[in-house]
Amino acid sequence: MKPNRLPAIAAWMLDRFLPGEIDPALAGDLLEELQSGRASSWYWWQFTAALGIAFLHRMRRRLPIVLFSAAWSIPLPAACFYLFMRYTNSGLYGRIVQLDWPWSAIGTLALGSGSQLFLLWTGTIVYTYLHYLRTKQVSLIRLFGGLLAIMPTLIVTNFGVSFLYYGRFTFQHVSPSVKFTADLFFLLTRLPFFFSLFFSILIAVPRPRSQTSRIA
Amino acid sequence: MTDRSYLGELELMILLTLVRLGEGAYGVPIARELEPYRRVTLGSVYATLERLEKKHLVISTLGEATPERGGRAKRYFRVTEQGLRELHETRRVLSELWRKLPHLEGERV
Repeated sequence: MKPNRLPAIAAWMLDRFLPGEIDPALAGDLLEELQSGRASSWYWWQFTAALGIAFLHRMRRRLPIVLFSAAWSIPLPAACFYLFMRYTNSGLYGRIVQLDWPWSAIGTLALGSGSQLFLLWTGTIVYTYLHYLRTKQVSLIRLFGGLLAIMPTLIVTNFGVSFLYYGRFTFQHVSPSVKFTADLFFLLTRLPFFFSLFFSILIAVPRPRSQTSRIA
Repeated sequence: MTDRSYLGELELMILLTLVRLGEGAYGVPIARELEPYRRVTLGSVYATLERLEKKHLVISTLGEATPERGGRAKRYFRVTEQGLRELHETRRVLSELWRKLPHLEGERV
C-alpha cells in the first residue's frame, strides 16, 4: 500500500465502521500522528484498538438485547420440539412426507423452520413492544427488517453449529427437553436462536439516543 | 462510609495530564504525555475522557480543522472545578492510605 494512500483509506474506514461511535477528532488525531512520522503498524494497532473499544461500547448499550436474547433462547429448543411433535401427532407431518419431491422436502423444512421462526418472531415482537412501552419509539420498517433478518442468520448459525458438533453439515437434531438441558449440546443448540434473535432485535429496535455518540 | 466512587487509574492519570498541559490539551499530546508511564491507545484515552465528561469532571470544545488531520477538528479538553476537587480528594485519600502502610523492609522513607 502506498504511504500516501494509507491516511485516506484509514480515515474512510474510521468513518464507515461503527458510525456514530467514533469521534471524528480521534480519527483526526490518528491521521495527525501518522503524518508526523508514526509507523503504519502503529496506526493499524491504534485503529484496531479504537474499533474494539467502540464495538464494546456499542455492545454495552445493547446489553438488554443480549440478556433478553439469551433468556428467550433457553427454552426455544424444547419449545420447537414440542411444536414439531404437535405437527407429527396431528398427522400433518405424515401427509407432508407423502408428497412428491421436492414438495415433501420443502414441506418438512417449512415445518421445522416454521416453529423456530414463529418463536423467534414472537421474541422480536415482544422485545420491540416492551421497548415501545418504555421509550415510545418504534419503527415498523425496522421491525419488518428485523423479522426478515432472522431467516438467513438462523440458517447460517444452524449450519455452523451442526458442523461444529457433528463435523458435517446436517440439520439440527432435537431431543426430549429434559434430556436436553443436561446435555453438553445445551449451549450449542441455543446459539443459533440467540444470534438470530439478537440481530433481529438489533435491527428492529430504533437506535437508542445517547448523550454523546462519540467513542468510547 | 461515604457513598461515592473514586477515580480509576487511567482517569486519574488523564486528569493530572490535563492539569499539567493546561489550555490546548487534546488527544495527541495527552497520549504522548502518558506514553512514558503507561501504554495507552488513543481510543482508550478518548473513552476515558468521555466518561470523565459524563461525570462533569472535564469539558470539551471543538477547535480548528487542519489538512493534516483530514479536515477533522481537534477536540480540546480541560478540567472543570468539580474535576479539580475530585483530584484533590483522590490525592487526600491515596495519601492517607499510603501513610497507613507499614514500612516495607529495605525501603527508605
